[in-house]
Amino acid sequence: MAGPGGNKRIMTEVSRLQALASNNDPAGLKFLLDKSPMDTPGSNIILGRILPRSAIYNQAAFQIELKLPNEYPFKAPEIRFITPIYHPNVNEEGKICLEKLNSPEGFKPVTPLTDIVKDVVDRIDNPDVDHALNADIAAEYINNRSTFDRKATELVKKHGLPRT
Amino acid sequence: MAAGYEKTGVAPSDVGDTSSLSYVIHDVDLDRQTQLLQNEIEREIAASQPLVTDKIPTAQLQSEYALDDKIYQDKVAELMKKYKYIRRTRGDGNCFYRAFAFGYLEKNLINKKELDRFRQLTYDLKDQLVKLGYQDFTLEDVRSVVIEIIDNISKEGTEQSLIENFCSPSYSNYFVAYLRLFVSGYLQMNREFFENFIEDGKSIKEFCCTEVEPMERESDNIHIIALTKAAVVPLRVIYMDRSQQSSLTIHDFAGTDEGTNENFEPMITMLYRPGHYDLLYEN
Repeated sequence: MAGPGGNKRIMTEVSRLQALASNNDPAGLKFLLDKSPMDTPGSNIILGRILPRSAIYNQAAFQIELKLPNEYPFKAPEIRFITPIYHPNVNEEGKICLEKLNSPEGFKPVTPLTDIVKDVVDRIDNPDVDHALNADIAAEYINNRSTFDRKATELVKKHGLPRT
Repeated sequence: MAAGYEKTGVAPSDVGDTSSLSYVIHDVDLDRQTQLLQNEIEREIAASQPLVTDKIPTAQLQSEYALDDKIYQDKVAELMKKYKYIRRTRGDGNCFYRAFAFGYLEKNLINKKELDRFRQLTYDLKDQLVKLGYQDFTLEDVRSVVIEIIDNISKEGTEQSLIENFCSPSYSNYFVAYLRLFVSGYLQMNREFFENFIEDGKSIKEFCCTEVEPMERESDNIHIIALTKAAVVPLRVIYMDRSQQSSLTIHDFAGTDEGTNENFEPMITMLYRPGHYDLLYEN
């Protein structure tokens, strides 16, 4: 990851993620950066909280981890949820299904990390049962919505993080 | 770790009639296994194939095909008549771009005027792409490394320093990434013309997003035409495949609208075998 452009690129990516914390545009993307390679030199981990806007998930913030591979930006970052979340597109290990990352033709060297974070939030706010990672949860989401809502809310109350 | 995750204990019987469900469950484990296998293959290729090799006598190609494979042996013999050397590139889906970049810089090591021209094109591309909606800072990240390489070559380029640059994955991949952007920009800026050549009814933008810009996506005629025109670099590609005719097929890409004739002098010559591009040299 210590490529010629590498560190400067990561620095800029991190400061752009940081800037999202003060994004007061209600329609805009907000992200709360908790930890980055800037505080821990040599680290390849970015930790931060997303603030979904959809019902239930808008009651808390959820911490996600972006792990930058050695070959970044020529290989996509790995994303996972650190905060447990009850959602059709997130599995027990916190892995989320995103076209931009999961298909090889999704990520490009010029894709900014803010785009990735935006995709994560969009997916949380707009569940896609066609690409569900958990059959039971997806089925419940479609057929037994009130139960799904109850369980999702329980988990948000139990594990959700502050939104500031 | 995402520990303490609550198992909800929802059984399929709890959710009623499941026969009407039409969604597809995404198997993340299969994805992950596929990804691990892919990574393993890439590691093996990286271990056994340098990004760019030294010049190798084309005679060595003879041992790549069975001695009694008449079709290929005849074609290799044909190739050897004119091209004495081949320089291999790694078979990682980026080979066309890597060969182009290396071949171009190698040919122009002491041609400062030509390097300056290309440097200007490289410089201007960023703003053109920003106008098309790309992010400035990620483009700047890639462009700055490419400019650095061109400037180094301009100052004191040798074949050896070029090989060192191109065998360093971090430098080499930046150049590949930027040439992909050259193609993408050119296709988008000439979309009416190229739209006719895209299969599956994809738009030019979709094509660029899926078949041009991501690393390791392989190159087709459309990529070659776009790059030679965007960079204005004449290229000759010699095709060697299983087709019955014993003579080699030659495709010339003028890089200009004038087309080619018998006096065509390519700046770069490549060998194409299905799925792979290498560089060829007459001496």
